[in-house]
Amino acid sequence: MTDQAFRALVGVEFRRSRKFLVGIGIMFSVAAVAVPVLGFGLEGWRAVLSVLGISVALQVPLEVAKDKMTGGLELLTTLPLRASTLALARLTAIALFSALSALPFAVAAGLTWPGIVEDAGTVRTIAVAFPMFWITLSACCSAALAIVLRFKARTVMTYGFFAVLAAFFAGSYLYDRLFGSPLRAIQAIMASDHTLLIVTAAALGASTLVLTGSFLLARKGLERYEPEPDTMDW
Amino acid sequence: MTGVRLRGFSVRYSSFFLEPMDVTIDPGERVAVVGANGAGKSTTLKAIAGRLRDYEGRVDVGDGDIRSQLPEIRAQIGFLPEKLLGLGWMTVGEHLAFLSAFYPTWDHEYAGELLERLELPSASKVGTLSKGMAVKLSLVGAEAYRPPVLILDEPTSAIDPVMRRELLGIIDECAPGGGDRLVIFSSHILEDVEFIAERVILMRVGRILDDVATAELRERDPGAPLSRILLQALERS
Repeated sequence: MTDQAFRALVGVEFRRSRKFLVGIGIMFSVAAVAVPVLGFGLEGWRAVLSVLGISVALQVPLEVAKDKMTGGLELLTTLPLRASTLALARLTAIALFSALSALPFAVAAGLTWPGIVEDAGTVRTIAVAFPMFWITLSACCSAALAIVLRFKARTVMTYGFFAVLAAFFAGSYLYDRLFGSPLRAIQAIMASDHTLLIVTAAALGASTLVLTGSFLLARKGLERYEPEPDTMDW
Repeated sequence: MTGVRLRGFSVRYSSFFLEPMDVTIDPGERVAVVGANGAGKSTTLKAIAGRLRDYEGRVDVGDGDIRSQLPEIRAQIGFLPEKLLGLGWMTVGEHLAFLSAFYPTWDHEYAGELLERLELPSASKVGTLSKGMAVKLSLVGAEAYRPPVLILDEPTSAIDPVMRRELLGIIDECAPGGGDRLVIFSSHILEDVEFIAERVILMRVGRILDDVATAELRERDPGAPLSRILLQALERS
């Protein structure tokens, strides 16, 4: 595998994701504006428009994500390259477009939040930590992709959706029973003198773990990938 | 010199069974795989091209089992599938430039010549190509790095007679019989088989009926065109 080939692969993966990038950028930009507006109780019609905006913005990346799951993979998995290389190129592209898609969010947040949220440190913390969290989320998508490649996409996505919801509520409940309200922990972190350090370290740690896991899963999935027999032409 | 060997190769799906087969194809041979729809031609070609994972037996390309040599072995195989594999948003030129990054022996000049001969506009989007144009692009993508093994799955089924002749001419030139490259192709068009192949593998519903040199086939009915002899053989089966 030459550098040229790897760059070509990352370029293709990046371009394949460009609509995804735009969708995510819009989604978080709308959220960056709408969430403080909703949270600080302006007029009702604005709140409704914000909710609609978020819904539309959510729909775009979800639709594109659906295409991203399988589009172009047939070509990529027929090239003379290892599944590890393809997985690495995919994650590199994800990291690139994650960082870029965080930009509109940061701009929107920078324009909106300082006027509403008085604590500038909090704004800065969230804006810095956001790209890390977003890379983590993208890596989770990559892991989901790997699983989808091996199994029936619809089944996995359905079970995955309920599993994520269940994990979220179960995790919140468990944390609440063990350590008290998670909100208090978040407030404590925000009030700490080392907020930025804690949040960034946590995001980096989580990103590293999930990216590593995603890489291993994606590689396994790509090794096993082939079109389903009943879609083949005999 | 790269040859192909199938040993006890078989495939079993819920609705299809390809019986175990043993076939050896040597460098320099041009072999046609002929049979009705559902005979197992495409499945066999996909396995030789390293595009099929679940099968029994062994497929050797060159010195070893293709499954243990993937993906490196893919650089030695050019495959023209029934359906073009590409990204619709790329132009023809971008598609080829992308592929070229993965094949060290890719010849840009040669690819340009093939594009010109096949009248393929490099600015067209891959997603908008007609079936015939897609076949031509697949051929350029499979041939531009001059792989020792060239596998063509129904290369002429979707193109007009003039371009079909041009495409067959290119195949004939790029892998002349007796050279060091081998060509395996499937086709329903028996005239194509007559033009290119020196050996024919006849298949029907998942099994090989006959594996014979075209010269020997001709001896069965001296004076008759090969296409008629093949048709008779298929009808008898």
